[in-house]
Amino acid sequence: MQSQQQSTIPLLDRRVLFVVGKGGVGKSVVTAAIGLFAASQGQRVCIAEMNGCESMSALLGCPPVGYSATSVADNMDAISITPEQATEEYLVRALRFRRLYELVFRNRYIEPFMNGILGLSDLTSAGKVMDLEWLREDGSYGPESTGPWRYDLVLVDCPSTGHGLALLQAAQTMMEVTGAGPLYNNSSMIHELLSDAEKTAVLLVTLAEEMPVAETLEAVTTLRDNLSISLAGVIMNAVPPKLAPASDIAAWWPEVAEQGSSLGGHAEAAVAHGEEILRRRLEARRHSERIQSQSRLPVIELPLLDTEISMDGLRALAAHLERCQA
Amino acid sequence: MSASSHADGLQDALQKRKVIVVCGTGGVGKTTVSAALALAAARRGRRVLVMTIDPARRLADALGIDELLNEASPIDPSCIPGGSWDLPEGAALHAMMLDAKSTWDGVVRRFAPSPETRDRILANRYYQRAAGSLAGSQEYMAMEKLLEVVRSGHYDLVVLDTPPTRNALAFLRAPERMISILQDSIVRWIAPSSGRFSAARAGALLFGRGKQAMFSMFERFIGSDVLAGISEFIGSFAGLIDGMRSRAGEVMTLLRSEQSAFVLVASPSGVALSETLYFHDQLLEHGIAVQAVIVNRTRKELEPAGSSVPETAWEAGFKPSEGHGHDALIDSLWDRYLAERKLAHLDDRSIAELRNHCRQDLPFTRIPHLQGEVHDLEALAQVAKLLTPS
Repeated sequence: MQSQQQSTIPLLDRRVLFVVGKGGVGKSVVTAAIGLFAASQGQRVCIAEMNGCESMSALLGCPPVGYSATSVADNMDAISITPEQATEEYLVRALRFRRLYELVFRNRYIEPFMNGILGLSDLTSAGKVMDLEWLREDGSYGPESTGPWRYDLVLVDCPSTGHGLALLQAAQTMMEVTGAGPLYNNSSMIHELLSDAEKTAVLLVTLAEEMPVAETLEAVTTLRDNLSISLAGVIMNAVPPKLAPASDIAAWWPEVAEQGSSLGGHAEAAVAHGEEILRRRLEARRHSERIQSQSRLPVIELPLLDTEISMDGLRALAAHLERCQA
Repeated sequence: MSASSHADGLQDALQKRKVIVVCGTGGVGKTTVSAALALAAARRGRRVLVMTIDPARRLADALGIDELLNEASPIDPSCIPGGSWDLPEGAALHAMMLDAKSTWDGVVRRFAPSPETRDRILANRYYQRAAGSLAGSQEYMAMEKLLEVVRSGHYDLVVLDTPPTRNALAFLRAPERMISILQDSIVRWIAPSSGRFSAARAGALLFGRGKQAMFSMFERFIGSDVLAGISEFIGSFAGLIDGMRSRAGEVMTLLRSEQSAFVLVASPSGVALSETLYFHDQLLEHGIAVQAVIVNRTRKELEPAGSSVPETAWEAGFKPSEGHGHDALIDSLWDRYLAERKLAHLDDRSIAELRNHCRQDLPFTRIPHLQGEVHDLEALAQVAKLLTPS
């Protein structure tokens, strides 16, 4: 029964992982857990949160994370990328002087169209991720720099599916719209990084529930049809851990359930909760098999934590990821 | 407390209102709740349409149908096993998945001042892009469609599932903002005499006089073809904008009137809770009173409530056995039971916090995380029952 679900997802052999999934599936938690796992393996990690939705401080108990990378744990930095700051940084660099940026992009008659029609802020956010990948230990970056990388792994905690996909598609969109020129050149560099299967991949996160699974499968189709980005696999989050080895459950559950019902009270309630766990695990198995057969992607399960999210819980998830790699 | 404390506000909305706006932050189950509310209202004999703006196919999944188009599709609840969900005579349940692009196309087709304008807009490549992604475009389209279906007279009630936003007001303000920017931009981008984009003129009007040199730099950066194309897109809306504005105003009046009710969907998890509090306050500041709160996916209240829980299974009366793995299974079950109770208490605390925060008589309804999943009509009917205990 175990064999099917124990696939592995190579989490540490890419330089950039985009973590994508429906709202509420636990993308930030999964991102933090992967970060802790990678850091524990000696990788230098940077977690990039997108759209200014910063949740690392709440998860890791560190001070609020802003637009410049700050250390949030051993071997681990985090940065919160807002579209405004990414656009400002990019344009000030590209347009050479701030005044022009202010005239153009603080301009309510121009800015909405640049973002709405050209997807500029998605492009510059993706560009900021590329900058992090490019960054060398000495602070230099770009195609000409050499030397050791500042980060071995950039983990991108994407906005929920629809917008997450827009972020990944931004470079391609801009290339189609512009056709040539400086924006085109920048987009094509970002596109190149995203399309490099050795360096970059998307990791999908879902819950063992119908709607997030349906959305995940749809995202797989969209990504495969429209983008040349590599897909690493699917993480099924918050699966209730097993009560006991399957053979013990098969041998004893009917007797235990019987005892519980005849005892009544808390014993009966505990058995009812046990039934619920068994049912949800079966459901998770079914969803996992469905994802694997329809997407041909590996699926790994992360256990549901039985506490509020805490550093201990995240470390437990990181340890689980490590076991899945073995 | 039963699953639902009291749901007067909800009953009132389901029976009398013309529009129910279901709002809340992402991932709390708005779509499922919207569909369940629609089903419950249809059961009360009303002709109901549930509309979602979500680009994903959640509503279709929730309603157990293959596909939803930009048009209303009838849903037949009589196929729910058990037979208790036949709709009364005259009642109906329809569902629609709003596609921003198709709705834009519809608005352009219906309201363009001339066939030439219509064709010019529909053919513009930037329009093709902007229709789905211009900030506020989806929200604006939701309002256009809402007005269209309310005016059609086909429905007694429209349940609107709003797109996930962190900001409650984004949904209400977005259309007005989008229209006003489009309107002001037309004046600045386009020369009224020729109806065309002129870099020199736009440079002055967009940047201010004397800054044309800057504008040329910008034009080189972005590409002059791109600028001309965008301005053509903006200009082509000149003849539509007054109508857009007046219809958006009409929807706002409808939403603020007694004919509409706002239902806030929350989830007891920590982050979602604080976002929900923020949401509630923002609506209030904007003069919109939430009619009911639905707390979705709470843990089941584990009976027996109140009594103190034995620390081990053995104290609760379970009998050990020599069999390999038997006692370990019971210990593990008990650990999980204790942990679940702790989490259930945390849920209760979150909900209490939410209740304290809101006005005292605001009806709260709890929907426990259901056995199985809410993806077909039968499960949806279960939720509908919880929402409207008879």
